[in-house]
Formats: sequence, C-alpha cells, structure tokens
Amino acid sequence: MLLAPPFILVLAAAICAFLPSRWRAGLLLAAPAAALMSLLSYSSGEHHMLTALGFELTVVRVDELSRIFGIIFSIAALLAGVFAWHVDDRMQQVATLAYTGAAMGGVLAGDLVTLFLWWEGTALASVFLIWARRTPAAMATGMRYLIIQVTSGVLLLAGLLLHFYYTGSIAFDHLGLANTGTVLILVAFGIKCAFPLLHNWLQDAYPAATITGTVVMSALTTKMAIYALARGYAGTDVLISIGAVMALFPIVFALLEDDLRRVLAYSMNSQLGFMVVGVGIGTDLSLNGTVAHAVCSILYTGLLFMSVGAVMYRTGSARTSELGGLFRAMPLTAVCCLVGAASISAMPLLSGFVSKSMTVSAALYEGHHLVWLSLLLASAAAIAHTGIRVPYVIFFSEARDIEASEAPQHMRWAMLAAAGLCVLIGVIPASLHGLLPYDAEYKSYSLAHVLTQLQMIVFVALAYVLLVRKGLLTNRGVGVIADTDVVYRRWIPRVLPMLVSGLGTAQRAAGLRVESALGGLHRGLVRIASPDAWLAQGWRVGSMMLIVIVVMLAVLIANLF
Amino acid sequence: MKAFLMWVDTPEKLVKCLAIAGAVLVLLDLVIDTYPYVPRNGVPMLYAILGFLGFGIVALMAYVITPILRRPDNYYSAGSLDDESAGPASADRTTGDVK
Repeated sequence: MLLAPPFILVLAAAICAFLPSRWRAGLLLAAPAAALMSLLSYSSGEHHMLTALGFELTVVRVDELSRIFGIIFSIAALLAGVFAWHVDDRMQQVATLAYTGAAMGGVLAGDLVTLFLWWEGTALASVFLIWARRTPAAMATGMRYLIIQVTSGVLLLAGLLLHFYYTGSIAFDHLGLANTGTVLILVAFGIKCAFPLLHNWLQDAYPAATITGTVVMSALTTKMAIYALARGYAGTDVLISIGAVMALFPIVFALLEDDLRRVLAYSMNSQLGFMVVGVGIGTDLSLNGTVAHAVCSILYTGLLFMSVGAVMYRTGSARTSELGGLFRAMPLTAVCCLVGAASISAMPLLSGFVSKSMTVSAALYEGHHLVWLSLLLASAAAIAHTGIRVPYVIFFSEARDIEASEAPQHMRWAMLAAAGLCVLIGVIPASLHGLLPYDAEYKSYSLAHVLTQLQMIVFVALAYVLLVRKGLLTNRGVGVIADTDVVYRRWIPRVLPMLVSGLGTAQRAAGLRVESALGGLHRGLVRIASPDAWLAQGWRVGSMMLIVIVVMLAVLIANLF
Repeated sequence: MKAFLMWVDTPEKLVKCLAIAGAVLVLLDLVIDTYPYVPRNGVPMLYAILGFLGFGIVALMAYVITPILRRPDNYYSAGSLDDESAGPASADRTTGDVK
C-alpha cells in the first residue's frame, strides 16, 4: 500500500524534509513520476481495502474517471517541479509533495471517509505554499484560505455522517441530492470548486502564494473538487444554472483586475463554470467534456501561471500597471504565454478548441439554450480577458522602464513542455479522447466548428482593439476590486466592533437604570419596614381587625366576578 | 509571415486586418452550414455577433462598474496583499520569490 500513488508522494514529502537542497528539487521531479508509474500499474477496480473506526475503507479505487485525473495531476506536479527547480525552500518543497499526494489520494478515494481525510490534507498542505511567502499579508491571506478550506472539510464530514446515518453507506459513488447529508457534501464540494458566492478564497489566495506555489495550486484543489462533483453529482440539474452563473460572473472582474495572477484566478473560475455545467447536464458527452476541459485547463492555466510567474520572477511584479513591452526581453516566455492564451481562447489546433466545445455542444444538444448562450458569451469574454489581455499587457503594450531578462532555463523547459502538451492535444485530439471515461462520439474538427470559433476570436479581437482605441478598456486607476470578500474582510470587521461596543454601552446603561430602580425600591422598603419604621410600630387590635375585614371583603368581592 | 507581422505596426492596420478577416469569415458563414448537428437552423453569424456585440456590451458594463467597485490598495487593511509593495527591488533572485 505504501507504493500506492498518494502514499509515494506523502512518503516523499516526509523524506524531503531531511534532504539537502538539490536532492529536494530532484525529489519534486522523481516523486510525481513514480506516482504516475504506480498509478498506471494499477488495474481498474478497488484496491487496498481496510477497516478502520468501524468503516470499510477503500483507499485506492482506479477506474476510467479517477485514472485520468490521477494522470493529469502527476503530469501537472511534474511540470510544476521542473518550473520550481530553483526553489531552495524546505517548507515549499515538502508542502508541494504532500499537497500533490493529498490531491491524488482524493481522486483515488473509494469512500467518503478516505475522501474527507485527503480533502483536509490538501487544505493543510497547500496553505504552506501561501505562508512560504513569509510576509504579514501572506500570513493573513493563508489564514483566511485555511479557515474556508477547513470549513469545506467540516461540511464534508457532517454531510458524510448524516449520509451514513440515513443510508448506512459511505461509498463514494453517485450521491445526488438524496438527503440533507448529500446536500451538505455538495456545499463542501462547491466551496472547493469556487461556486459563485463561495468563490472568493480562490482570488484571494492564488495571487498571495509563491510564484511556484500558485502554479501547483492552480492545478490541484479546484480540479479535485470537479472530479468529486463528476463522481457524486452527475446529472444534478441545479449544477447547470450554478455553472452558467459561474462562467459569467468572473468576466467583469477579470477585465478590471490589476494583479495578473488574480486575473488568471477569475479566468479559471469562469472555466470551472464550464466544467460544472458539464457535470450538471450529466450526459456521456458533457461529462467527457468536463473531464477533457479539466485536463486542458490544468495545462493551459498552469502554463499561464508559469509565464506570469516567470515575468514576476524577473521583474518582481505581476501587475498590469507595472508591466509592459517585455516581448524583446522575454521572447520565449511571451511565445509560451501566447500558446496558453490561444488555448484558453479555443484557437483551432490548440487544446481549448478540443475540450471547451464538448460541454458547450452538450448544452445545445440537451436543449439548454440559455445556458448554451451563456457559455458562448463566457468563451467570447475569455478570449478577451485572458486570451488577448494577459499577453498584451505584459509583452506588447507600451514599454515601461523595466529591467528584465529571459526566464531561467528550467522555467523555459517547463513552459515549453506545457505548451507542447497544449499543441499536442489540439493537433491530435485522439490523444486526449482516448483517455476520456465515457463513450461519446465527438468530432472536434468540423468545418462549422473551426469557422464559428474563428469568427468569434476575430470579432472579439476587433471589439477589443476598438475599445482600447476608444480608451474604454484601459486601466482606470489601480486598486483592488471589491468582490464578495468585502463582506468578511471589510463589513463584518467594521460592523462587529461597533455592534459589540454598542451592545456594551446599552447593557451598561440598562444596568444603571435597573440598579437605580432597585435602589429606589429598597429605600422605600427601608422607609416603611425597618425596625423603627411605620410598619414595625405596635398596632392596636382594633385597627388590625379592621384591616383583616377589609382584606376579606376584598376577597369576597373578587370572588363574585 | 514575419513580413506581414512587421507590416502590422499601427492599430489602424491591425483593425483593418481584423475587419478583412471578419468579413471573409462572415461571407463563409453564408456558404457553410454552421449548425450541422441541430435540426432547425440557428441564428446565422451568431458567433460573430456574440463575439463583437456580446463582448462589447460586457466590456462597457465593466467600464461603468469600475468606479463603483474600485477601492484603494489599502482598502482591506494597511499592509494587505495589494498594499504590499512589489517591484524589481523586492524580488529575491536567489529563492525566486518576491519578498
């Protein structure tokens, strides 16, 4: 069992902690490669069953769906390892291996308890990729990230316990919205997969992590959640609407943001929306589309994060307001960035063209016309906010006075390899289609598809250029764009102290009033009932009798009614 | 190809190229059935319209929304991520990460 893919990586992480610098960098390449080998050696089926805490656990379940995610995770980790060859930071390197292992364990988990353990594992390991920046802001961001990720894990635990209570099963197969437990599990998956309103940790954390950390983070957490959705909630209608909103809402933010890594985080959020729609539709074609798009998105988003990271490595900035005209200084990075950008734009001969249209077509075939239009609009916008804007502002816009040189050799290799895979999938779609889990006939290259996609790209480019010329798309001042995190980062921290201090004041005022009222009562009682006061004086029998008679009369009269 | 790329050196020429390419693609749209898998005919040139108008409207929306959503860098707290000064001087080339 120690040779199962997740354990190879976790073991490597443990060993990594005690190795010298270059050995650690080497292990970052060797461990994902070994995990990939190990994964490919498994036959389909359930492996490594064990009983713990009274549960029957299935530690490794390999089938068509989990296998392709495991493969792409190890490839992504390998590429990220090449990209991070220069890193000499024990914390980051150990965290990267442990994080990859946890994500791998998550997609191979055959039951919900095992899934939960790995689910929390990804949260705990990945937060160190943010903390490795070692700045106060990164510490704070990491803490927010951890709280949200752990909340997702806690919801998963609560959900699985309820599900177990209702059904007596912890199997991680199709769940659907069958009971309260599975609803909670869906919310847990939704947090990790950045559903609208649950999304903000993504845009908060990814720009805060280290250059190399963001590359590996972008590949794993959200795609593990997409896998979990595809496994548990295929064909759940509500996901179609959620996915459509998710594809659309990040557009405006991606167009406005100044920090390019945040632009990419929004862009990725929108791409995740396509995958969620695919899961919601739940046909063989749409699920294949989800998986294919997850694979392609890991590659081209990783590539884009790498090229922006390389620029950041050389210039110290990933801000549109501080970059420009770097094409001459970093030509190869620029070309790789263009390949990634063209891939997300679904340019023919590149990976996005092959994968994106599967989900979009499935929405049309199943009659979800509004969703289909939303996805088309989101594709059009992706061409602009990532496909054109990201390479344009870094490499081709007005040159600024920046000293920079080409990315280091290992970064160039990593970017070239990722770009090569994007081209490979684009030119030979069968290389990806052969790995997809379901049987669905889909022809990527048809005259109609190429024509319509080229139309879209050319017209978006035209609109973009015209808008930039009119000054309607230029950066209007820098600064953060308020998103939903304004609620928990600004409003609650502002309102809560006011509320608390207000309540405190009110409580003190009320206390004083009660005290004075009680004091008055006490003084009154003292006045009439103290030993030498009026009530305590010696009373005559006659007047006592009179009082008794008056009281008895009052009782009698009260009884009449 | 290189000569062509060198020729496109002003925005005007770029717009001209894109407009010509767009016109060709739209003409092709009239000849080729762009909805081969759906029984009834769809909107012609839908992708061109969505690309140009759809994106244009979204971009203008973004233009209008910007002043409402834009906040200063230290909006959340002084020393938050966006407020942390980056820049060439702060990049540590040995560990490769921005301090």
